[in-house]
Amino acid sequence: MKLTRIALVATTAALFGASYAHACAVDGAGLSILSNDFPAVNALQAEAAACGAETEENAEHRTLINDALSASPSAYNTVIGSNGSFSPAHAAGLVAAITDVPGVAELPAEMKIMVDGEVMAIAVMANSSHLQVRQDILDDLGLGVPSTMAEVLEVADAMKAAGVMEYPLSGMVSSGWYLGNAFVEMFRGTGESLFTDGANPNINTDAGLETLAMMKEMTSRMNPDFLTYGANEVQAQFETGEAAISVLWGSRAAVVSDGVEALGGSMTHAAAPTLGDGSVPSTNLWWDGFFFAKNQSDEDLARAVALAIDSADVDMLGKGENSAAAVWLIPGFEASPANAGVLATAAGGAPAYPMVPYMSAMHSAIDAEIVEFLKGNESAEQALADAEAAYITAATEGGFL
Amino acid sequence: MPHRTFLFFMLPSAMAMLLFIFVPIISIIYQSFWQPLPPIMGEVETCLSVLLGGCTTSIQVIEIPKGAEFVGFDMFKARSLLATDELAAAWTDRSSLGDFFVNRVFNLPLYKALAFTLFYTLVTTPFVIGLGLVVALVVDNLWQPLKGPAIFASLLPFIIPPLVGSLVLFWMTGQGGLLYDFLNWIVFWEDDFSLRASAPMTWGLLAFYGVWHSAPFAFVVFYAGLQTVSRDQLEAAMIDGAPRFDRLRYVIIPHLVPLMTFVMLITLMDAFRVLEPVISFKARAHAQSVSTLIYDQLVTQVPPLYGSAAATSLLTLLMVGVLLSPVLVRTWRDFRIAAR
Repeated sequence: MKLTRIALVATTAALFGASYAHACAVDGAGLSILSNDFPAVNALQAEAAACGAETEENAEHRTLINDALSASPSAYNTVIGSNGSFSPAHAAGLVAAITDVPGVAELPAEMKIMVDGEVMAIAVMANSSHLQVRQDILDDLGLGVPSTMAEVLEVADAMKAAGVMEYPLSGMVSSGWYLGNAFVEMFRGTGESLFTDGANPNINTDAGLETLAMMKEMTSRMNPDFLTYGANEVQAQFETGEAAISVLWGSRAAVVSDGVEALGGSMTHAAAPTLGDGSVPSTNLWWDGFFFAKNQSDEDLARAVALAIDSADVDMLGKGENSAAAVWLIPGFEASPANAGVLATAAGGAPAYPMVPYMSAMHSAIDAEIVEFLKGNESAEQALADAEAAYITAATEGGFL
Repeated sequence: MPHRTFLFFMLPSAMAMLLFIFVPIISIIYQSFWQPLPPIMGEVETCLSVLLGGCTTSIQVIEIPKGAEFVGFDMFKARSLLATDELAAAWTDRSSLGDFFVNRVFNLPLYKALAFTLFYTLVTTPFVIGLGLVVALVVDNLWQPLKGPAIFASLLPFIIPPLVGSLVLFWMTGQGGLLYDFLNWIVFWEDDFSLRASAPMTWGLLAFYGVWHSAPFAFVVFYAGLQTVSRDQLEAAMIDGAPRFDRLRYVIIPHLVPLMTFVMLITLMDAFRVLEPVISFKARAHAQSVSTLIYDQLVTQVPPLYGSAAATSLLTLLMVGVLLSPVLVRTWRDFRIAAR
């Protein structure tokens, strides 16, 4: 797999190398970059490949990063990751500080990720889940765009009562990572923190109960198969006219809009709804960006950083559909209507997905334990107590408690 | 064969066994009793741009000490595995025996996973052997030119990668899917019944998949066995006037018994490690297996919990051993009798 990818990329680079050559301020030969695999990241990787770097785009990159960066010298010079993958690598001491690397000081403040006063990563795009709703159906029924979770429920009920769809409300709540994520997003809407007193859990609380109660309200209105629905399924439901309102990734907004327009409808992308009396959108902000292996020579690090800065520039935004592929943090980026949801969510003050090394233990504990409650086999109190117990076991083993 | 020749003959496989089986087992034993030293934590300020949420202070890893410490049975006693403390607590404040098992024991990850794993193992194994035998007998009695294509078609489920096979079946179970519509047509469910939301249906479907996937293995072994049934014995039985069923019962089946034991051993071991269908069917909400626990500890958790994963693997080994012991004891006894 890896070899074919490298071969493909190398061929592409050889074919297009000549035409891109003038844009390459940095020689990427000998550098290698690991990344996730979605259009915006592919755009960045294409830039680096054109400058001669080896690129690997892998949807399972998250599971490779720590092992790959532990090698000395590291198996990759650069990783294009996110909040979620940065923390474990950083906690393991595998990420290089780049404060003093040439070019970093000149970066705009939006793009710098600082830990303990040192620049550790270069953020290039923001993402979040947010409200995506069929504007044409809202207009037909004379409804406004909901801004709270309670209003989302009302809108869903009104659509169902009007006979527009069997299950107008959908969501990314597939058992596993998505279910844990749905809880964390809803919980952030209460304004509480998932942790208290360092790494101790703080979810078996009133905020946790409020979160679960709203999740139950939501899922009871969804198709009974909801525990198997991730982003792909929700997107498909919009595209086939089986869903009309959902909290869905910003990176899907443009595709969903196109799909719904093909059905003769139209979409509105708004901030993630707030929960109860809360004022912040119930979701997490994610950044995607570059971070660099500690186990590499200073010369390689300097070249890797320079190549990253050179890849994520206005030139890249100007090529093809790149600009529409994400909410870029790159200066000179002009937002499109599909970006409105992420920008409104960020403007509403949604918090970033927690960048702590014990977050993965919390996330897995939640997704494994709240499912019994959503199936109706267990009380909310029991589910939250179980989730805390599971978290404590995992975090203790990791040495965080 | 002289012992010396036998020894040299076996040496390459013995070395391979040592390298690929013995060494990893030693490694998981070590990892389940020794843990890396815990990291040193401290307060650190993380700053993102204002758009992304600004600065926050949190407890982060400051330093990772080198070395490992002996933790005894801590990994095994933890809630994620045997959960001894939780079980003891549940036993002292139980309201009834039913409550103890249903609400407390099966609420713990390992026991919940064991319930499904044992169900899957014990249900699929007999069906795999039975179905494999039936298919082998049918194919063996087919008209000669049809045998080749029939063997190929019967082997297909085994050749298809498990992930692909289970995904195809999974797509058929969604509302509007072929299997969903068919079952719906048989039992006249209410319209919003979800096959995927029902735990018993999910368990049944996973077991169905298990039989479908593994039966060809049993088939191919039995089919090979059928080719070695002694023609003389069959003819003798026919001359004695034994009808078809009696020939099957008293000649063919006894001839196949050692193969059945072999297939049972392999199927039991395989079924106990069930992983792919649970993941492809997105059935984690209703069915956890011992292997999905290991998968979670190694893949879902970042950084991976190597200690728990090693301990779970070691327990799996022991449990497979217990599960196989009746068959192994029986085989050993038969061998002793034969040797005498």
